[in-house]
Amino acid sequence: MRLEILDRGHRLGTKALLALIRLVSRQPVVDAVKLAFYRPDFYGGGDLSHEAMRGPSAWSIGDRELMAAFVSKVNESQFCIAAHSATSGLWYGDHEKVVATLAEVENRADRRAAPGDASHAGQAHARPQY
Amino acid sequence: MTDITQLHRALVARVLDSDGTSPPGLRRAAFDNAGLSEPIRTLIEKVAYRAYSVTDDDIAAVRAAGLTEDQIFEIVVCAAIGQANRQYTSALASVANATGEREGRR
Repeated sequence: MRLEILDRGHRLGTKALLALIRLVSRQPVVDAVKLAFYRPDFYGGGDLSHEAMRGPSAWSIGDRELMAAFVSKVNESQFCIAAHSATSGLWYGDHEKVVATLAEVENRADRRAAPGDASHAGQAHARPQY
Repeated sequence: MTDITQLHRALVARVLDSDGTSPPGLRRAAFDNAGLSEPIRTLIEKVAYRAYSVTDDDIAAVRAAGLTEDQIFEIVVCAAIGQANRQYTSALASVANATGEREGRR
């Protein structure tokens, strides 16, 4: 079962916004957005996310989105891998570069996590599947 | 203190200490992923380490144990932020270690 409050529990203004998103995009509102917009007085991580991903930084937006894609790979979140990879690729104007970089970083991580090394058991478990 | 540090601290304080529908002790336990009993323990463990493996049954079991949807929302958010917080702290320490800087100088 899913939480009904994330489908029907938003405040009136938020419901209107979600309806507008559905109308303009002609797609269902993604779950991550429904979650982020529910009880922002409690969770409300948007300001932190925006500052980290779009605020002043030595890293470009493409760099940050690429790192987010890598973290998403470690977390095995297919939706987040796709979303951050796409945004990073758009920023660089080169999606293949993003795919190749992610593969290279993961290969390096694999080589470091030698089989049988107990200290890497957690990472080995957390590695994404393809 | 950077804007990110301030926003990060505010977020953690908000989910742990603000008014919520679940007891602060339960939110803290979910944040720490420690000291929980079943079926909440399984749900929180999955959110922290294998979020992709959360099933309808995991949520249903926690509801059957008496938690409301808002309480489940709160503890899941706490669990996710708690794990992210540990990964963030660990990453900062690794960067400080790699660059030879003392931890906390940021």
